[in-house]
Amino acid sequence: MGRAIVVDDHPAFRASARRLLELSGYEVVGEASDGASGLALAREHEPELVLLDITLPDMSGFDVADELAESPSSVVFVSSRDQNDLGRRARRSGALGFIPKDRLSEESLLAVVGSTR
Amino acid sequence: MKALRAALAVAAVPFGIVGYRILVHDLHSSPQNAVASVAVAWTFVAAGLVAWARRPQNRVGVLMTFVGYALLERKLQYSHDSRLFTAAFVFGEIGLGAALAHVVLAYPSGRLTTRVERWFVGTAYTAAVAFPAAMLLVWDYPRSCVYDCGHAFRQHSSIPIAPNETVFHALDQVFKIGVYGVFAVVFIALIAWRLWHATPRGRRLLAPLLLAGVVAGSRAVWGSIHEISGAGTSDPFYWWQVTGQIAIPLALLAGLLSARLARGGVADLIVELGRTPSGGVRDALARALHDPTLQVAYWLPMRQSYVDEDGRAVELSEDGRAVMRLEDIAAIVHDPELDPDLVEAAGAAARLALHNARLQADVRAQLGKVQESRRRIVTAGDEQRRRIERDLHDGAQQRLVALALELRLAQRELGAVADPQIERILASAVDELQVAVEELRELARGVHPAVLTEEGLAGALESLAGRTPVPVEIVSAPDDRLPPEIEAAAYFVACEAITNAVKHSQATAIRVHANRRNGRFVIEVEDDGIGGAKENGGSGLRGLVDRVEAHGGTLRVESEPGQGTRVVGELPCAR
Repeated sequence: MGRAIVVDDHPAFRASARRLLELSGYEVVGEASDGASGLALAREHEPELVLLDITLPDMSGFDVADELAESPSSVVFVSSRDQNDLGRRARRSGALGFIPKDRLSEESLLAVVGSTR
Repeated sequence: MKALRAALAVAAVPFGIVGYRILVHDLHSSPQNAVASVAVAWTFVAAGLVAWARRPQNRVGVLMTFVGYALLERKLQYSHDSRLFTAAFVFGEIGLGAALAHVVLAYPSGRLTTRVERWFVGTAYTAAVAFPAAMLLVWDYPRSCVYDCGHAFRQHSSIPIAPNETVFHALDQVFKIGVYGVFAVVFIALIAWRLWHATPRGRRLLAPLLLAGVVAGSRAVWGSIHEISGAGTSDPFYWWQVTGQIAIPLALLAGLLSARLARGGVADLIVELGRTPSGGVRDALARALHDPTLQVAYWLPMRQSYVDEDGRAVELSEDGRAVMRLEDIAAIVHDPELDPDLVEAAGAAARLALHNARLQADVRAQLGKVQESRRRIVTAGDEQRRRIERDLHDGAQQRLVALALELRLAQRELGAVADPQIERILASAVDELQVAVEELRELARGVHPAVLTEEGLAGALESLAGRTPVPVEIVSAPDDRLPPEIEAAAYFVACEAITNAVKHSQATAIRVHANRRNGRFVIEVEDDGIGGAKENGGSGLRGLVDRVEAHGGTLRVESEPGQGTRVVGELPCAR
């Protein structure tokens, strides 16, 4: 399905997300634990998908998504919080979609990515 | 002291008569000039003794008496008796110059207040004695002459160590022109400086005396100029001098009279304080002392600091102000030109009222500290809630969602080969985990919603409205961020009011207004429910009242049965 990167500050979640993406047919070309590294990785590889956590240690996932707005990569937000708890930016962001981490699965990922294709 | 003053008063009479005789017979003054000269000295002595008797603690009276006696002593230097002349000549200039300047500059407190004044007066006393003493040492009889030089008689120094008319003449000229003239100019400049820097009340108080000082000083300057021109002095100069000199004790008497009137104000103060609440003590003191700038600071022994009448800490500013301390009660910060005795009398009269006001200020200070502490506790509580929410998000929540994802992957990898029993167990575990995550989210939201931290009140209210089962309309919300404690208080008011509306009031619509009004932030939640809510009805509103009041705000509930409920929280918010 293409290449992907995972940007999240929790190693256990990154490992699980990598496996999920690979099972879904993605080639995971990199992982990053903060926003700046994620941006650098995305600019270097220009992946089709960026699985991006909203709460990062150095910057907000929304800011990372804004930086990538002009890139060919599609952004899917993930968070352990509910979308309703993330406020206006989550609703107004230009990302493909939002998946709560506890609902992340092949099906939910396909629903978000597929729904906008 | 009373006997001493009486003795000085009596002694001044024969002393003056002796002076008169010397002026007339030895200096050949006219009788009217001699009478005027002695009258100046007697006026100083009389005014000085009255001032001394009225204000024993104030040096002005003693100084005035001293000036009077110095002026009487000055008459003796015109004597044809060499020993009397020599003794009187050494000290003869003190009364007319140094002591006169001293009393004028020391008025009204009796003390020289600046270093320049002290330096000036000290130098004046030194010059007033040193120059005549030096002249006596080089006195070249019969060529040397200082008074009545047109007359055949010439005074003779009793201590001519190295007679030299040239040196004598030079000393005489330097003294009369250089020293006297320069000192008179500096004296006038000091008076002008003092008037310039005095408070309006101080100027009114000082003006007559200082004006008299300027008249006397300017005469000395004019005399020096005439000495340079060699024109000598004449009758008009003499009367100028007399006018200036006699005006000084008269001005002092006027000052005393005004002080007596002011003391009448202290008597009025005692009557007024009986009718004044303790909060008005400052105003009553300011009126009694005619000092609208007067301040009162109350001493709190437990805090070892001063506070104002509202209990707020104050620093005693002594910059250009005078401070009178009433031990263990208060300090009165006042116009430095006020008579210290008068301020002390007013302070003593107001002592009981000040004591009561101090107790009230103490209570207010403690209340202020309690209020401050209450605000800090709530703010610290909010900060703690934020931290707990972050910890839940970063810790348990992350672990649970990672576990859920792991289980889903396990489900996916086992796929069709999985035992149906195991598949059911895995599916059940995933469902349970999702319930746990949802409950944890709800708990975190109740502790402190992340959206409030991230986006402020407007975002948090939208989020709150989005998850409320009853329609909630956000009519107004602030576009910018507010102080965190105000955002938190306003949010929890809205949250509690909406929860109550959903749970207890059977409301079908809720409206929220959140905006600034006249320096306050107002959060208002109204519903169309059954009403009848009470602040103390166990609905959680009581806790909100405490939270809002901790920030200096108010919370009110309007909830007539059948007319819906309106909860209004108002919080101070300058920006």
